[in-house]
Amino acid sequence: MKIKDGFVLRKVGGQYVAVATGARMMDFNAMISTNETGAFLWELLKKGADRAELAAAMTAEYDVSEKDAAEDIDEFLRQLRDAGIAE
Amino acid sequence: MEHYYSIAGLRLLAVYEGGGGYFKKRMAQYECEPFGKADISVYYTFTDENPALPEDAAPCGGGSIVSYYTTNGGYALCNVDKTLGMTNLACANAGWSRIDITLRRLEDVICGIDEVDTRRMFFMLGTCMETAVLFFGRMVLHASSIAHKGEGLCVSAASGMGKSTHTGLWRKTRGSVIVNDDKPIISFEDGKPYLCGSPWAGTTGINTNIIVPLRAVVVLSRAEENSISPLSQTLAIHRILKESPHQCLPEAALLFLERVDALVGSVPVYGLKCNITPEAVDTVEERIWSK
Repeated sequence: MKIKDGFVLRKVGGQYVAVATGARMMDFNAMISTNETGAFLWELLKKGADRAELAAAMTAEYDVSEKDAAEDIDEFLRQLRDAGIAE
Repeated sequence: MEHYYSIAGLRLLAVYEGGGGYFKKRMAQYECEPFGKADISVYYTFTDENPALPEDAAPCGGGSIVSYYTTNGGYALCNVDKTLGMTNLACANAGWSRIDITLRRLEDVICGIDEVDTRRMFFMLGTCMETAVLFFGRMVLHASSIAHKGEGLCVSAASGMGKSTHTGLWRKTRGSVIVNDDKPIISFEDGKPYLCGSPWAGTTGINTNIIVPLRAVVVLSRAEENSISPLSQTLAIHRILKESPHQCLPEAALLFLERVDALVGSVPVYGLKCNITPEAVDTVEERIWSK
């Protein structure tokens, strides 16, 4: 899975905010907010990381078990897919 | 001929031939003495045929009014008329310090609009400036704005919600100055935001060339009873982004988010539910200026 082209992400206030740019604005006219872990996963997804790579990176970066990391990643990916942000 | 302006503290040089007509009138408040190096230089060219996009222009989206492109050297944006095609083109360098605006002469083509060519000079530059100011540490908010007791207030809302009516009540009941009725520029100095007048001010065109410290931002919605309360940072960010001009270019969008971060980190953002009466002004003044 990969973040579709045209989205940019930046920390705004205490959260991370993503908005659509360019042609992507035509079919996505909203903002997405996420936390630091979501931003971490977002940047990896933009580089094309797969689920296993996400899990490995998350357990290396955060104090989280493989099981919890896998559950969090699946939920995050589901949300991105449902919102039409990732493919 | 060179014309010098100071807008939101930016030195703007506009180079064009002829009298300037509508453009000159609308920019008059912002004329200044000649300066050395401009922050933004704008060069106008009029042609008899529609201008052509640079050969290396790659589409980068846009809406029904403006289309954006990236080029090897920067950016291009244009207006395309359904009948006449692309009559207005602006090409900017990567840092938006130079903008070349090419306009097809339409005085003899379009009847019924006075000064159509110099009018397009003005509005095309306004469109460019919404993006350009981001590259100079500033931002454009979609808000009607006033200066009251030496400080600024931005009243943001969706179009038609009554923000101009509300700020009109401030002018009528408090003698406040309308800084910009639609799209003020916010500048930052040492992290503090300042409300700046600019000539591009929506359908009413009301604006004043002043710069005042920004006291607060209010997001207005209509209600039977007047009430005002601070918005959480999350909601403030959401509402400001929702009511702001959307940035098509990724670099500009990132800069806009950076400015929103600076804005919500430095001034309070309130949610105002109001009926459009003078009592709504009392409600806001009491909350924001009584502290």
